Amino acid sequence: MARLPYPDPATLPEANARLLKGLPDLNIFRMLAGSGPSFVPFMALINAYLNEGVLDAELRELVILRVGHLCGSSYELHQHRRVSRTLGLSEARIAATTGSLPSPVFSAAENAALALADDQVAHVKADKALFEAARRHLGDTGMQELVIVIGVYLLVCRYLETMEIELEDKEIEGSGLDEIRKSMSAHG
Amino acid sequence: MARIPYFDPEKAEGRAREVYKKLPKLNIFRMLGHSGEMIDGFIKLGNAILVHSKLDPVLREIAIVRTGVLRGSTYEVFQHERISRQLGMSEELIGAIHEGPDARAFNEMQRLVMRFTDDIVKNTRASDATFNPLKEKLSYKELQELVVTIGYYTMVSCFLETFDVDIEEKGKEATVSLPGMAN
Repeated sequence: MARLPYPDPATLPEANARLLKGLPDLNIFRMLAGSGPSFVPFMALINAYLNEGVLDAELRELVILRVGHLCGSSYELHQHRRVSRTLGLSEARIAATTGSLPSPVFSAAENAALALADDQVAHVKADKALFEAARRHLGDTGMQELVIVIGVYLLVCRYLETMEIELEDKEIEGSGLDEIRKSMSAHG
Repeated sequence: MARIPYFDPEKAEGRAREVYKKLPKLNIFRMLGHSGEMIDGFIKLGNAILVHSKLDPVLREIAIVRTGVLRGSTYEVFQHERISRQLGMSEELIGAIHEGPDARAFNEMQRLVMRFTDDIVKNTRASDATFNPLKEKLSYKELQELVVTIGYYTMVSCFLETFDVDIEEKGKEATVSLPGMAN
């Protein structure tokens, strides 16, 4: 059971209630809708890389799974394994995100991004050689997106674990990314 | 020295262009321009935390500076100590954030926020020992804001450190104006 009660949508600020209505029915969003003015920009930030980002979607999900694994957040892992499967990632590649790196099931770019993620999670400032190796694959825009995505999941895992958000009784269908995109574009 | 060149805000397009019009001239924002439209959500979430939250600004800055100290982010600490001073926080209180939760300068509430921040930054999940006392004293909304604030500045410290964002040169500091500041 979550540590706080999920807010009653009728008591939410109008903008938060309206946004929540269009989002996938996930407990993280139900709880976060009660965080006041942070809810809408938080969703804008995650929509920016989930739906409009420059990183390869499989590479992005592998990094998200790695951060969830390093932080020990079972909710984050559950949701992003579902997203990964919907995007077509194989079970072997999903499973390898909990193993030792580099892995032969990952491309050179994926291994470079995952090595950066490991180092950044452990040391905050990623090592310069790992930074340059990942940058050669991803470019400056890709690097900024990668570093922000790793950071966002440090935030997300802290939020999920500290609020003790539990898994939904009923699994949502599909990845949920389209609903997020549509809700944000309706929001303006 | 920054690891990649700073972005020229004059070259921003779309939503990023609008965002830049309102931003103070800080190196973190100059660096962020490479992220394209992502800057929009990144900045708006920071703005929600700093401008629109219900959480007491002194408690908020204690959480932010402490997160920066624990993560070794000199830029984050530098900028938010400036904000702390502008909010009227004493040098003794700011020094205490570096010292730790048991420092004498803290009142009870500030000490609870320090312990909670330490717990989340280091352990991801706050234990019952640091979560429950705050749940008694803050509204649920304020408690959520505090968790989001600690998480957001955990993310910001990664960005600042991994791109090696430089503190602005003397005489080129930008002025940041937030609710609760004296001027």
